[in-house]
Amino acid sequence: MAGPLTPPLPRAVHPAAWWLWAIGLAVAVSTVTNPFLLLTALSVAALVVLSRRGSSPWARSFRLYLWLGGFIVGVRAVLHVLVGLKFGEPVILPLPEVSLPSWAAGINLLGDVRLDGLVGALTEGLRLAVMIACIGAANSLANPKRLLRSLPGALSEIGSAVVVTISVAPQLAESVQRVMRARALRGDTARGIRAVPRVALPVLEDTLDRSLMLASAMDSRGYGRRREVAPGRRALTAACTLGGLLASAVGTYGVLDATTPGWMGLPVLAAGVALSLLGIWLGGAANARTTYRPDPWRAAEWLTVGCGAAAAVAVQLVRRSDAAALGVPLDPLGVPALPLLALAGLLVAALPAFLTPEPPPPAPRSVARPRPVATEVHP
Amino acid sequence: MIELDRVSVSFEGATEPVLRDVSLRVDEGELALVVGRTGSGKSTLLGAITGHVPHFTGGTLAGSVRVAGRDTREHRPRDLADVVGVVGQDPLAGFVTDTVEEELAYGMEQLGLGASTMRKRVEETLDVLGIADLRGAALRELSGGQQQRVAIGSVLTTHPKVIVLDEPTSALDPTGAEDVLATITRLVHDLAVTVVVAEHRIERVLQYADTLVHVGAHGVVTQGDPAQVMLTADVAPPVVELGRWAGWSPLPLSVRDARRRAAPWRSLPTAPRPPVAAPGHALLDARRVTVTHGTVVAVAEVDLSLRAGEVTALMGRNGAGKSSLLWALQGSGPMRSGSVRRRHGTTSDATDVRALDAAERRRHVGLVPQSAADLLYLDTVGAECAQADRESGRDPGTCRSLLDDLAPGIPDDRHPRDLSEGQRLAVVLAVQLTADPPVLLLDEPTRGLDYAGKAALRRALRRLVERGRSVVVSTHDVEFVAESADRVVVMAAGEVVADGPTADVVVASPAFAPQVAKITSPQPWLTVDDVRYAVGEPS
Amino acid sequence: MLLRRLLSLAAATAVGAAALTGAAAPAQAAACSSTSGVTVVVQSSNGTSVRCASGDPGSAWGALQSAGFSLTAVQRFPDALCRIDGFPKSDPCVNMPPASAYWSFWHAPNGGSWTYSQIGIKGWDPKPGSSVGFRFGSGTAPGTQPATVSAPKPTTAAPRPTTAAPKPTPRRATTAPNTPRSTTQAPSGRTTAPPATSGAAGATRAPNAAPGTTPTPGAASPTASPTPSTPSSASPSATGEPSASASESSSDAVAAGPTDGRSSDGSGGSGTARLLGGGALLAGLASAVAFVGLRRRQAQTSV
Repeated sequence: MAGPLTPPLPRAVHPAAWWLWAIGLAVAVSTVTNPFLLLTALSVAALVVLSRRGSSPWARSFRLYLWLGGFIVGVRAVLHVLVGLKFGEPVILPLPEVSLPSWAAGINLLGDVRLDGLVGALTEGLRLAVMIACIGAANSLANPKRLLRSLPGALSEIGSAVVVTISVAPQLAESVQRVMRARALRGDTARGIRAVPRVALPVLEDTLDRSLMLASAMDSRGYGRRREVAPGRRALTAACTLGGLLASAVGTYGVLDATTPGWMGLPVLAAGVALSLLGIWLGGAANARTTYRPDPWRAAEWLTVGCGAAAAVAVQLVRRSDAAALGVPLDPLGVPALPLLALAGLLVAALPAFLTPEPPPPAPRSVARPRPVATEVHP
Repeated sequence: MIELDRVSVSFEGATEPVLRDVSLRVDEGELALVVGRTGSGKSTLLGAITGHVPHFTGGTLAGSVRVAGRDTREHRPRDLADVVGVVGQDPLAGFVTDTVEEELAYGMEQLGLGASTMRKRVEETLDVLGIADLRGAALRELSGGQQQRVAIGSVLTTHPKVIVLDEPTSALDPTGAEDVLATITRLVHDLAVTVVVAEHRIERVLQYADTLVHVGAHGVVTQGDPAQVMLTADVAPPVVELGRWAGWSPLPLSVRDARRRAAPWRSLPTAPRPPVAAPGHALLDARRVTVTHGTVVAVAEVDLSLRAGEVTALMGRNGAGKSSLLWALQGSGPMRSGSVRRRHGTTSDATDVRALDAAERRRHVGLVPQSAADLLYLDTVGAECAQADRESGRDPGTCRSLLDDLAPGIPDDRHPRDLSEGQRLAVVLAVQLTADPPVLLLDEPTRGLDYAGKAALRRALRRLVERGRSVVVSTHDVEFVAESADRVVVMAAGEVVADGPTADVVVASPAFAPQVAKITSPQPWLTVDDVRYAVGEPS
Repeated sequence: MLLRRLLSLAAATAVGAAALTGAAAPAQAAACSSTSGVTVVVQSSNGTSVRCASGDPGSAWGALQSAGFSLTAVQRFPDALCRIDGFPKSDPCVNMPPASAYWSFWHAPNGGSWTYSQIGIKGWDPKPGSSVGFRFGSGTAPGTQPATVSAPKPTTAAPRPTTAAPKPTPRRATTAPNTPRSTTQAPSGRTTAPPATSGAAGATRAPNAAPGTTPTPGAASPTASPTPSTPSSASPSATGEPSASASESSSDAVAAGPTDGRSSDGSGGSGTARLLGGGALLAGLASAVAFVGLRRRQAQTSV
């Protein structure tokens, strides 16, 4: 588990490992409103992203998630002012309260904003923001296309479809731009609703043409090839998949609803998931597809997943023993606790920033065209 | 390897079959060149070989097609993926992944090859195609020639017995096309792959072809020795035309063979250059035009003056800034600095083209963009023409009569998408000419045109300049330039590197010299007509 | 179920501490005998206890406290009730209690029947003579009937200054010249509200209070509401003294309770120390992030 003495060769850590790590961190903060813990988790995520993100365009997306998180905190504060429960002591913003009829009792519009309530709302917002930052960290660390590539055989065709869809969007934007420019050549610069059919028609035709060409190319390259599968096996696959889905649904209901008997909860859910996995495995056998240079799963991946899990477990342990330490004392307001176990767990989640292999250097881009030299004259 | 036995293909609603009673045979390791006029059914023939006809396109196929012993009746294209590789016209449209290495591996992944085999073959293919340094590059950032080579590589990795290429060089500049064609011939020579290639620039591949398949009118297909079939084919490159006129037998297919036959002409006293017609007055003056896209400088301080009665050819590599310059000259495209002024007669007053609004601007400078069909958005040719008359404020019927001059016989109720490439170009040209601009710019108009289509375009442009207009054509097609341009402007990396009469610029350049010039050099002839005029009677 | 749980979350128009001002009197370990108090019914598997919160508590929360129950709120939703007298022990009181095991809140008018409250515990203002009930479980009504009481014999003709004057909700307090905060935090004793103000406040209260008291059989005199503990209600300033001290001490106790509990939870140090420790930790992490970011940026630009 421990990092080797010589630094490991640069390579991309398996995308699934990053996702599991991020989910562990997100699970850890999901029950926490203690700002010390939340900000620690946020710093941990940022640290790992900064030190281990690759060079793909996705890797730059973490900043966007941070903005989104900030936006969420802001919205949460505004909603608190509008309809939130305003409890606690010092009034920091006196506002008139709008009275609602008795059938809407329990909802407060406006009213004095009080510090305790506002702090409560902000920490709730921060919790959501940090969870989103965790997902953002996974997205920047793990190339989603590579994640799709490591899907099991039965789902690989969906993966291909998703990859194609992702590449369609920029093409669509490109053809809209091109058609808009072409329209100006006919002296037609009308904007608004009248212009829609004139732009949409050529763009649609273009998109359809491209899709047909792509479908034809994929077909001739073997997309959708199947092995011969015995009818019995096919039926078994279908039964496993459907049964697994059904059992998962029942099991989820059982877990969420406290009035159902215990056996309907976790056991049925586990059986459902197991059946679904079996179905996927059986279905994958009908698909001959293999993966080129699959991402390996080695010690670094285990370490990454383990660190994420450690954070989740540590926070869960604190929750069992001293749940109040995970929150902020609101009534009255006080300094939140510093639960050392939970902090240690979150700090362990930062270890992948130092112990996993570094990401590979950026791929060489196509040779950039050099600026012309004035003396480069035609013979 | 490929056997077609009395194959007929017809599509629903068509009055006659696209292919009629085709029987042909291509043996292992042969290079078969498929030629024919645009719309003659070349693509349908290729589709029949790959199984796309009728599995993907619909239609009815009679007879039998066998590829490597597999009948396409029972095998869909995906079932043939391990024996047939297909490369299309637009490589980017066929890419499934986004980096070179993954694209090369995609086909093998679908076939379920082992990890070590895949790894080995990807490396081999990178070497065969000479693109090893691009392995991690994003496909969209490659040049056209590199993209097409990756597309070929991506079908090569599955070690197919047959590779079918449908006009693989039509989107490429001369250098890119050379690279791709060199790759194709190397496949045939070194790897013993059977290659079927449809190509409209026959002159480039003809000399390497083992067998020639000619798709003629009414779906009649003939197969035979290239020199034999070329004698009567309805498409012919200049070298073949020259050979036919001179009565050389056997017909030379390469410049090298023709050069040996043309030795007597070279020893003729060097004919004086035909006098260059005095150019008219300037119609458009561009000064220090600079266009940037982000940080990339597309056009760098270009000065250009377009004169009446002159066809100017704009040449240069893909990405040299030709399109950006044309859009800037028209006034619709971005321009960072510089000025474009339209001169009125010989007087000094001028209009700043870029200050006009779009409707007014097209009366001064017309532009036919690279994807000409973008201009068409109505559902019949008649409606497009009527709309063009309205836009330009001309009498109804102006556009229609222009269209009849350019390409007679296009019915009014035809949908623009159902037209052939040449007909669609004619419609767009007619729409833009309705405004009667003194300056007309065309961006890559020869793409997808066969020899007859190019000749029709050449005549139309010639009529325009005779009426005192100025025409700029950006193109990669050196033969078209040799036959139609009075002046050639060569761009490289955003700058004009050569500007002069066609004969001066083109003959001197190894990349841009037309076949006739290569055959008859040091004589100053560029086209078969020049030779006919100078030599008089074939020896 | 979910709806009920949400509703049991208080709609805080009133502040818990404010209600204490009404808790001038010690609790009685039985239902109220007259309309001068609010009957509090608390029922769980530990048994049922019925007490009387004398006077007019400002909220059901206040009624519980003045009846002598110790309360614990949910940490993340301080308006929701989690424990009464330390029950249930199993709930950590951080998140909302589950729908199958929570204190459901009911109220009933004098002589009426239990109604599941649509308003939160801190938002409901029980009228004197009415009942509030708390039943632990999945939302069933308390097993004990609400109290039916009659108005006490009038011992004084004074209007009800004790109940009217300190009415603490911010909305109503706007009629008083004092700021609402000072009214609620410091009971009448220290603000020394002039009798005229109290009377004015009482007058504005009257229409509200009247409907609650008039239907009851014994409510012949709506102005009569002395509490047993009040020696004399002739002088409003005099009544203020004991109630002020009482509420002061009880509010202190409530405020001190959770704080003490937290400081002893072993998570280290006083508030200031924790603040410093947490701040230092976060500052260290932030500088680590900045350092790593800068180093990678340099590495990339040098390539």
